[in-house]
Amino acid sequence: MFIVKSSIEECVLVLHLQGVLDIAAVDILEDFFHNIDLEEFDTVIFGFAEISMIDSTGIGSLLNLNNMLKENEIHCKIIDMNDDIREIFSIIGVDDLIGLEQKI
Amino acid sequence: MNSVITIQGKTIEEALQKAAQKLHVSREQIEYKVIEKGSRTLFRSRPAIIQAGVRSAFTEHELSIKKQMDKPQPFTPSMNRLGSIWVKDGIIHCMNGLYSYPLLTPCEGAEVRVNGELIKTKTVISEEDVVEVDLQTELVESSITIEISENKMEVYLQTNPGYKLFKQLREMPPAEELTLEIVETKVEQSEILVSDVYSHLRELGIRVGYDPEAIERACRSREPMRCLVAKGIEPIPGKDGSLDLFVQRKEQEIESLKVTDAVDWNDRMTIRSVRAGEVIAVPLPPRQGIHGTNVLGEPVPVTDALPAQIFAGSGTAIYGREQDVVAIESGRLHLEHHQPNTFSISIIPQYIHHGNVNIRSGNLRFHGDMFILGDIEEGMIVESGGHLHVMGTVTNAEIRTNGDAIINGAVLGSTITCGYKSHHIQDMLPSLQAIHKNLVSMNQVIRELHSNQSFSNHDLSKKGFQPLLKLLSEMKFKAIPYHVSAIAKKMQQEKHKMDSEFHKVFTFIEKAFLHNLPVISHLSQLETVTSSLHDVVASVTLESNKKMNVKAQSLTNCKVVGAWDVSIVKFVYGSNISSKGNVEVQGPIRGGRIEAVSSVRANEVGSQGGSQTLITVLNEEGSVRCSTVWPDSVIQVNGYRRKFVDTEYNVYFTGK
Repeated sequence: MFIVKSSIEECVLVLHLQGVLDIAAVDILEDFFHNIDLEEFDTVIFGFAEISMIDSTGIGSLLNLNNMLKENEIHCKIIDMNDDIREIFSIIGVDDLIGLEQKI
Repeated sequence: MNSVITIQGKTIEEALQKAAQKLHVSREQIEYKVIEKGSRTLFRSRPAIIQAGVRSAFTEHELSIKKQMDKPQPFTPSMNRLGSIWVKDGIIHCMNGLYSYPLLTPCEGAEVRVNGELIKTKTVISEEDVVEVDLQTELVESSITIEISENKMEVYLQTNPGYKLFKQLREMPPAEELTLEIVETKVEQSEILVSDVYSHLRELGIRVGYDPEAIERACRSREPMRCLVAKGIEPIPGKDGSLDLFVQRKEQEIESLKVTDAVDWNDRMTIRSVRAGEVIAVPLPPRQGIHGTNVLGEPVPVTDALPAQIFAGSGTAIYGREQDVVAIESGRLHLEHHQPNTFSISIIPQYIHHGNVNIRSGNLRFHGDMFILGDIEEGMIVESGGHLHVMGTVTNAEIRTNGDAIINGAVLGSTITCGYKSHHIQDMLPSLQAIHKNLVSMNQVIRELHSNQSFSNHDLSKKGFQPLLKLLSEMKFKAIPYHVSAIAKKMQQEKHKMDSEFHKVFTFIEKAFLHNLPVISHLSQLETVTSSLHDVVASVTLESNKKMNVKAQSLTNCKVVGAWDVSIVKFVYGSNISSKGNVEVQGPIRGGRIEAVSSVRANEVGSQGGSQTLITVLNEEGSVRCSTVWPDSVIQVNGYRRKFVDTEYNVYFTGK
């Protein structure tokens, strides 16, 4: 089960992700981006507070989105990531690529 | 203590009195050690026992020093020097002046009291004052340390003999002002008893291998000393099972070819081979070792000697109760010794070509040893999977071997390539090693991910490992696709030369990491690929270290590649030689380039006419030795280069 909730604060798009970000969830996430006008934003924040698990396809999808947003000069960061998921990012070597912020 | 007696009495005091009487000294001069305190019960009494001797500090000289120090120090105005102060025989003297008093400054290590009051700074002294100087005698007790080695096979005794440090005031001439100085006299006193050492050793459980002489020597020493005082009994190792080589005994030589061997070029070629059905070798049983004992008396085991393990390779079989190794094909015996007890034996097939290699015979290729009983003529190619022996000459031809090349005749305008099968793979070795190293880390990373409770296997169970491997090889392991791509390019050029096992492993890796095809569905598959690649890397490494030597009568305008040692009996003219070991030319080297890793020896280098000759030795310990070096020759060893301007004789050039 994967749910994306969004909120907008000025030029910042905040996505509150819930559930498991895996092969079944990536289409939902990518569809969400197809349906929004990115020109309104300069920053996208992925809220990971309620993400319990992630698989390699989920990480791959996040990296693709990150690249796509960068090409549109939109800053991207992930917040509230739990320690286990942070460790997964670190093991795979992608922690430097996406702006990770400490859990608040 | 100089001489020691053991004496007993009802009490320790009584024993001491007896000892004093026996040693003709006073009770105070006795130094003793209590062996038994003595006791008295209602039913029996046990005497007190002491070991006693004369206190070594109380020799005559020391007594005199002590006496002087103990003496109060009155002023004896013995010199007609008014207003001055001096030290004589360890005593401070002074004399008042008419209108002056002498001054005294104390020093560290001496407590000086004037009329009972401790002084620390410069003080006025007069004849009427009472000056007392207290010089402390320092006493350092003897001590011993016993150290058992980690393997419990050796015991070391460290002795530190005690000493007394006597202090005395330095003699000073009369002066108006005086700062005291102290002279120290060290008196050693060895009071380490052999019996003490033994009891300490026993307390530590040391029971085996005492060296009484070493213990005695250490106890007697007046200087600190560390010596081995006990040693365990070393185990005697056994001998693993081995092989009794019948063929070796028969011929004393199987296949060894050393560059230093003298060859009689007039000899006919000898083809050493075993016949099908011949017993090649029998295994010899292992001989077990003998256990040792450590200093604590515990047994020290020896590792079991292992029976011989024999792998019968192609052309051989193991037969009968005795496990005889029998040749089932005729050919050359090839023996590899992997571990002390592991052997692999195979028979390398041999092909004998009668006559010349020319257009009529066609090019020759054979997977085993080749013997050509004639010449190799212009434009021909000869490829041998093992050693190659040529009875005649080689002219404008190409020779490729995967073993030694021995050419009885002259070689003109030809190329000799040793280890041709593995040359291209050796170029790929650094990339292969890098891929293997990264795959090992990747296995570890995947295991770590599996143990993380937030890592989902959902996509792996649906689509196999491809998404994860793609992610990893794009992020953390970028080196893998990079090196795979580099090897793939080389492979396309030389596909036909690839070994089948190498080809199989590499194609799989290429699919998984370069083309991202879903060929891996489980971690165990990745582990298998990693281990197969390890075997490939190991075999390429082994192949690159294989010593393939070249021997020929002479080389003219030739090229020699990939050889280990190169030995030329007559001369080398205008040739390029590249050797991983040594190059030895009994005649001259004129023109061309010779490169060796270890050394080059030749009778002459260059020519009177100034033919440019370059000799290079790569190893830093390497050397070039030759009887004559003609002008215009260049010799370089380990980067040190020298161009010869004049003729020089008996040249020995190193990189140092």
